[in-house]
Amino acid sequence: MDYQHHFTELKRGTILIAVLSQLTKPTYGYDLVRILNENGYEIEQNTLYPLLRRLEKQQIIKSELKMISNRERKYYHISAEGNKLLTDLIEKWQQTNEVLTTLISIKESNETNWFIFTGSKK
Amino acid sequence: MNTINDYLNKVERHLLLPSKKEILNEIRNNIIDQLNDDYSDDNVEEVLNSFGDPIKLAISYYPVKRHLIGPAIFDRYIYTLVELTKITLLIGVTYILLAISKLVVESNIESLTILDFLNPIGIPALALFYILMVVLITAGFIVFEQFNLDAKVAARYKAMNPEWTVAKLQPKVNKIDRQEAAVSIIFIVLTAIILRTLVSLTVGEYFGEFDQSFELVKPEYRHLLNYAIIFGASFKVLEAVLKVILGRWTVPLSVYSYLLATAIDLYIIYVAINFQVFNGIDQAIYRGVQGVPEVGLFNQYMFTYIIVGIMILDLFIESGVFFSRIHKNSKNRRV
Repeated sequence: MDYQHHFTELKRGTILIAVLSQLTKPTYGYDLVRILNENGYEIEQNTLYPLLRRLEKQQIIKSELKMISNRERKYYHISAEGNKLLTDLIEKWQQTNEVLTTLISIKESNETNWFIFTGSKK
Repeated sequence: MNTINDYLNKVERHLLLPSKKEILNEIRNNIIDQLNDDYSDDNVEEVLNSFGDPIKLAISYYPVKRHLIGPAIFDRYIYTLVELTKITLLIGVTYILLAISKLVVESNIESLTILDFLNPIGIPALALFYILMVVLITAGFIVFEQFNLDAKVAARYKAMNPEWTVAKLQPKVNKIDRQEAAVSIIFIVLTAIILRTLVSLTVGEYFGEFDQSFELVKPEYRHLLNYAIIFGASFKVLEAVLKVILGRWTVPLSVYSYLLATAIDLYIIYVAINFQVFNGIDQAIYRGVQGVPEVGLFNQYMFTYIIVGIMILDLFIESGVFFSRIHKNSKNRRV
């Protein structure tokens, strides 16, 4: 069975935290891709650039055009509203992480008990 | 650079957005950001590969909402279509059964078949009604979705009922005022009487029924108009009675009410057009027959235009009322 859809769904909710957390200083598109990938958060360019555009439209991030080597480069930076959102998202993420860690540890403990009781793995 | 242009051209062809130029410029800059000053064709290929399929890239720039009828109202849309299909099948089967019963009654005449009892345009007319209704319903739901009416009405409803608690669950009450139903019945009966009187008074003056040679004959269409009036009035009375019994507009009642009302409208339009309720001179002109006198005060088009205009207006009004009822009741629906 192909589980890719579930992995994509799981990742979808985390993209915003990953992106916003790196826009606390002005960063241009490809630089952001590079930073995220170098830190182990794989993101495709055809996902990131449209996302940046949508976030800008929602005023979660702001952009500024700068002339670099005679051409324009767009630098993105988190807005005040985006900062509030990021703080809330991080808090929610940490709570979810704690809950899930507990649930996973219960699952592991159940499996251990099952092994002691039956002598076989579930 | 040619490869980059080719890639961007491909993106552009699938990017039907007002901000197309700006987006393309951004993509171009993002591509160049990843190339050194002395880049080779291989470098360009590598970068473009990392951007992926240009069509997918273009599509990813579209707003997330890309549907004509969204998930919030899709179930209601399917429900309405299913009910419409049931009603159409019921009418079709009844029609065929009636023909069979007539055939059985006339079974002493050997040469008769079921086709002798089926109007040749009966089934096609029913199919046309079905298609027309599907188109109307679909168009209505699309308008509902595209203008975000569902969310707007829901927001208004929420503003009126900010916090929901179990304590707010109330026993079934008659939300429809009985007086409303009584007024409806009186209005319907009066309208039917007025229409019936108008038909009687104006026969041969405003309306005309013509035979093949365009001689004015006894207006046989009259009973069809009478049927239309009787059907319409009976249906409205039944609707009013159901309102009193059910005490509220339920989704099925709304759907049946709308579909039947529309069927009656279409029937009246059919009678008006097919039986030349209007002055027949246009038919004569159309068929190239000379010397047919114009009958009645209206010119040949006026009456048809008025009838069809009223019916179409009625269809729109019924549609609006239908959707508002559906929406209201979907919020109040008991499980």
